Formats: sequence, structure tokens, C-alpha cells
Amino acid sequence: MSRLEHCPEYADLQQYVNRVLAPEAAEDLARHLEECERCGELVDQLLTGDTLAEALRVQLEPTQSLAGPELRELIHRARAMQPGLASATTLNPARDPRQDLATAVVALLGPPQYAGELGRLGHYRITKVLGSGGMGIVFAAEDLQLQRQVALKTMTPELLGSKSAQQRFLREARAAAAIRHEHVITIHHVGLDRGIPYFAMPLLQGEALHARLGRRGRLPLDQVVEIGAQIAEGLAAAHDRGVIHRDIKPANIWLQTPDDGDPHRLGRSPQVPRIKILDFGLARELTDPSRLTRAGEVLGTPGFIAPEQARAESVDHRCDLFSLGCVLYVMATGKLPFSGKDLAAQLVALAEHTPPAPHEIDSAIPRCLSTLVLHLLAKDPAARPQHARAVAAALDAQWSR
Amino acid sequence: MHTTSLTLLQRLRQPQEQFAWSRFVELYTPVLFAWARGLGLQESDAADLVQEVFALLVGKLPEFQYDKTKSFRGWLRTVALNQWRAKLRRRSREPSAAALDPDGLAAPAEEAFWEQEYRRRLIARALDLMQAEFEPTTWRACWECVVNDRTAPEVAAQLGLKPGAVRAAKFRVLTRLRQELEGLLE
Repeated sequence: MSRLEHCPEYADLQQYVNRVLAPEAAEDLARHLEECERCGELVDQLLTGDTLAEALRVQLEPTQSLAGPELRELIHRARAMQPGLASATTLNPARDPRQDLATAVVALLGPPQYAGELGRLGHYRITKVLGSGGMGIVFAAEDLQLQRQVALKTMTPELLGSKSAQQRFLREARAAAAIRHEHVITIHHVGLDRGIPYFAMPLLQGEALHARLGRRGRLPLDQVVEIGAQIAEGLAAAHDRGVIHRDIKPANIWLQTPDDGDPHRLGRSPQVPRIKILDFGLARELTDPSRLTRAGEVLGTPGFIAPEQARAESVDHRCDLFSLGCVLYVMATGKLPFSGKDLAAQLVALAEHTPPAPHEIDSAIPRCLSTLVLHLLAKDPAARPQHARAVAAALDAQWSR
Repeated sequence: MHTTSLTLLQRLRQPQEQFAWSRFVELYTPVLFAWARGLGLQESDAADLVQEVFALLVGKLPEFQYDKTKSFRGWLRTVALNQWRAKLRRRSREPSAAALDPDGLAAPAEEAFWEQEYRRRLIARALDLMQAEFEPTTWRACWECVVNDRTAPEVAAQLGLKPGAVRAAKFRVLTRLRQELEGLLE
């Protein structure tokens, strides 16, 4: 910490007041002023008649309430006009709508206080957009209290206006937070700031199963079985708490880097990553009276949802087991069990077709695994394995074989 | 890196200063909204007008930078007033408001606003936005000295600080405010 040896010249004080000192010199002088009564009084005199100080002295109204949603909304819309200013308006590159969504959320955040951050939410510094989905946007952020990196999920802006959506988001976050399991993403904290509900999760290393399948096409059988067993264990923990995921799919299965030194992996194949189930974004508590899917509304992801979800019927935990069957199928064979050229064709396939057994696609796939997968893909929930734990046990039995 | 050595007006000129526009909007929305309300507009009309003014400013702000002869306040007033008149002219073509003559409506309330309230509201809003940048004690010390017009020794005794620390706190906050608002108050 540097400090001035002597009192500065009067001219320096003037320069300080007029803000023409270099930042370091100004900081040294500011420190000096903390100690030196005489210089402090001089600066005080220099500030007499200062426009700003005078304006402040005129009684300030109690802080203008900006909580009004109209002004917030106005600010939000005006902030979103930025691109026209930031770059040549003639350039209008095709924009990623997901980026727009993220920009819209960023516009709602507390103002950034340092370069390199997008804004603030609660005690989090938002630094980067990681991705976005139907219900929310995920940011990389720094927890300023605990000083650690986290992933922060917020609702999409168009849902923010809806009180019921907001309550649902928070309820779902709390439901997910109640699940403590090594294969379910941990929710550190659920919060609400500036009308934006959010929750914090660990910032994971690795990649989504979706991304890995995109690169590799399909996975080695030992990994298929191991990943499937881990998903089933995580689901069992959620189902025990009365939480259904309702959107199990490769994009929601996170593969952590295999070398994270986790003791749970002892004795298991080093190539097999540890998984976390992400995004209980569509999860509902079983006891929640509003859990019925609204008529005609298909939630979940075509390709991985259960037939009863596609029919917009009420669902129970067994829809997750169907989706797990789809995930196992695609990991083992590289193909979706139910597909079609468009959404309608996919839904028809889901309702009516029985997919070829995995061992018919690749004879290397053991019959017992193939049978288990088809069992999970039964159209009638009552015809599937009834509990995730039983599925985990069946897969573990495969692995130890 | 901190970019705090530039004023907001300077930052608005630089495309890489991606947060300057946001700060500008945060700062000016209440000011412009109060002005529009002062013109006698209903809340929703006022909000529309403010949004239109911002849409103009996005394009026009860089233009302002090169004209050193104008005060920002006067320039902003012209932009906003023109937009208001254009709006009234549009509306006067609608049958329901056919009687309105925009140029006959140099509303006195609006004049008074620009003379007296612009600065006050702008500073109040800047204080709002920038409070988070300071330690609570620093902020409090400055507030007591400047807004409540008390002497440094008085405030020092109350907050358990040395008078020098109170003055330094005040200077820090004022310096930061002045830097952010430089060129905007005049």
C-alpha cells in the first residue's frame, strides 16, 4: 500500500477534485486524505459550490421507487435495443434465438459492476451464458459469498410475467433440492431477485450424454449398462421423494470427466463416467394437485417421452422408466426407438410401433439387456418394470456378469 | 479490467463498452418517464414515448458526441420534445384527437421539469444505481455529509470513524458520481 510522504501540492488537490489525476495518484491521494485533516478541509473547500454536491444538498426525494413493473419492463425493453448502438446497424447477422433469450434475461439482471460480468442476481456475479432450454436459461456465475463457481438457472423471460409459472419454477427447484443423491444434480440455493427466480447448482466439468452420442454415435456396452444403472439409481432417489423427472433424455444426463477422483467410482471401469441427472425443470411433485398436464399440451421431448405423456394423460414415475428405456436403446444401438420425419410421425410411432429389439440391431448386445430395454419400452405403464430401483438392480446384475 | 476511468458519455461512444447502454437506460428511464408524465401523458403513453425516445437515442447518441457546443441536457430535451411532437401529430390525424395542435403545446410543466428536476432525478437515480459499488459505511458517511449537510467531525463521531475517513469517503463517492455523470448534468 503506497502512501504519500508529504502533503500534496494545492494544485494536486485541485486536480483530484477535477478528476484529472491518474487513477493510481488519485488513489494515493484519497488514502492521504483519510489521515490528513488539513488536506481534507482544503478539498472540502474546493468542493464548495460543486454542482453535484449542491444538487445533492437540495433535498432528494426519497429514492424513486423503481420497483414498478411498468418501469422495469420499460428498462428491460430499452436495454435490449443495445445491438443497434454496439455495432453497425447495417450489419444484421442471423441471430441465435437462444442467445436472444439469454440477452433478454441479462437485461433483467442487476447492473454489472465489473468488466467481464453480465450482471448480478442475488449474491451471484453472472459471467457467461451456458445454455438455454424451454423453461430456463443456465448461466455460469460466481457465488460472491462462498466464492465459488456455480451454474445458475433462471426462468425464461416470457415466463417471468406469470406468477403461477414463477411459483411452479420455485416449487420445482425446491423439489429438486430435496433430492440428495450422487446421481442427481445438487441444488445449492434457491432464490428470488428482481422478480427473477433462480437456483444455483455446482458448475460441472464434462459434457452431456447428448453431446457424447453426437460425437460417438453409440457407446461401449459396459458404459451403456453403467450409465443406465446410475440414471436408475438417481431416479429411484427422486421417486422416493415423490418427484418425477418427466424429461429424461440424453441432454439431461451429464457425464462428468472420468478423472474426477471420486471414491464412488472405485472398482469401476475407469472409462465409465459418473453421471448426474440434470434439470428437473418439468418435474412435479406427485402430491401436487396441478400435476396434470394441460389438455393437448405435450411436455417432454419427442423421441424420449412415454406414450401416456404424448397423450397428455396424467403420468406417474413410470414415465421416467420408459424414457430411461429410450436412453438405453439409443446408447446401445445409436438409434432412436421411435422416430419419424416429423412430430406427428414420431407420435404415431410412439403410440403404435414396437421397435426392433436392440440385439436384432447388433448381435453383440446381450439378450438380457435387450429384453430389459424392451420391457421398459412397454406402452402400458403397468407392463414395465415398476420401480427404478429394480431397474438399477437388473442393470447392476448385467455389469457384474 | 475496470473501465471506471471513462465517463458514461465516453463509454457510450465505444462499441466494446457493452454495459454503457444498459447503464444509460437504467439511469434515464425514470428521468424520461417523469418528464413524459409531466407532459400530461397517461402512464402507458408515457412509457411508449420513453421507449420511442430510447429507440432514437440508440442511433443518435454517437452523433451527439461530436457536437461539443450543445449541452447534453438541452440536446436530450430536443430529441425527446421532437419525438413527442411527432407523436402528437400522428395522433392528431386520428379522428379522436383531431383538435390537438402540437406546436401550441409547449407545456409549462415540461419547461419546469427540464430546468429544475432533470438534474435532481438523474442524480437520485445515479445514487440508487451506484450505491452497491461502495462499502455501506463509505456510503453512509458521504450521505450524512452531503445530503444531510453535516460536518465531517459530527458524522465521524456518529459512525465511529476518524473525520479524515469521513471526508475521504465523501470524496470517493462524489468523485465516482462525477466521473460517471460528467457531461450529463450540464
